[in-house]
Amino acid sequence: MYATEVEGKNLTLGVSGMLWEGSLVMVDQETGSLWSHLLGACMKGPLVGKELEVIPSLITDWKSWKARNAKGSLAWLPRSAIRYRSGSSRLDAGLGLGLVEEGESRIWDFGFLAAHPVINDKLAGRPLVVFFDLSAEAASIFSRLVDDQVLSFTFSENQCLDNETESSWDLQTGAALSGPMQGRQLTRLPGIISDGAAWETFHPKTTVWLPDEKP
Amino acid sequence: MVETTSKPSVVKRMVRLVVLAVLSAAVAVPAALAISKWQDWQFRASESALSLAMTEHAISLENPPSPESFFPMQVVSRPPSVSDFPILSAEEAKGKIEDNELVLGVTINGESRAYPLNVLTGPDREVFNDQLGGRRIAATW
Repeated sequence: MYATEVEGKNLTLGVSGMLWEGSLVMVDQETGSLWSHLLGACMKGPLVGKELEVIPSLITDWKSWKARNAKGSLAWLPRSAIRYRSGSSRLDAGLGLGLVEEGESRIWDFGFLAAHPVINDKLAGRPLVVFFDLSAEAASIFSRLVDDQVLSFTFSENQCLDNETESSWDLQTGAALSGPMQGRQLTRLPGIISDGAAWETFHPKTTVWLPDEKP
Repeated sequence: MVETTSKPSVVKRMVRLVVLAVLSAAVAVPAALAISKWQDWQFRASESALSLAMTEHAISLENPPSPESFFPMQVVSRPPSVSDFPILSAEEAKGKIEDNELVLGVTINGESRAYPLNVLTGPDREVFNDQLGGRRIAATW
């Protein structure tokens, strides 16, 4: 999910019909510049060198989304696919949730996330937590900084709690559901769901989270 | 006399024709072979140049993604961009989308919208241009 305002210009992005290393290349209608879909960076044309801002988003199932966004709207056109459903096991498909922070990048594989639904981690010095709600195959990255306090989270008995206040947190929204933090909201970071191999190609210096890591 | 002079001339003509045919074949056949070989070589050369170019420009730690390492290939013709599609309320969405369908959801300045992955798939559907919470966005994943 990208913001399309670049230097005061509103861009209309679309598919160029080109692939770069097997990955989609987008084109903007206004300048004809070519953009890497995975990097959100302009690779050729008048806007070369510019980057699109990633808008934090969440992939989850409709049931989860509508329960948490009752007033939300739905973009609709006749389906062009049928395969994207929760419970259809994308867990061994090589997908992961990646993040770029201050030039550093890391990816957390869905297969690992299924076994580790709450991962306290750090990237480029920023304390973050990766949440995975297995029921909806929904992966998110949030900052662990609330006010000036760095929280750490644990997952037990189907509940996510922070160790500092023992408040409970929603794995999909990052909102505190009960406890002293109730009503507070973790800041979602712009994680990107990507094929793991493609992520490693486009971020040659990426690190990959492995289950034996103890951050 | 007429007969003796005309006879050798017929034979001579035939000999000349045969020699000409043999000579033509001697030139034409190798030429055709050479042309076909050259074409084959040219095809292989262009193929190997392409694979060489792809190997040379393959992105890696030494050759990270950048405008210099950008070598895209046109695989389908460019489809029109998508900016016009119906926006349904949660009420209107009932009966259209099923509970287990995955959606790309976003909330900006208190406004939320979901884009079903089953709608956001295919060369002419990968990117939806939209406006939400006062911002212009491209819904894609």
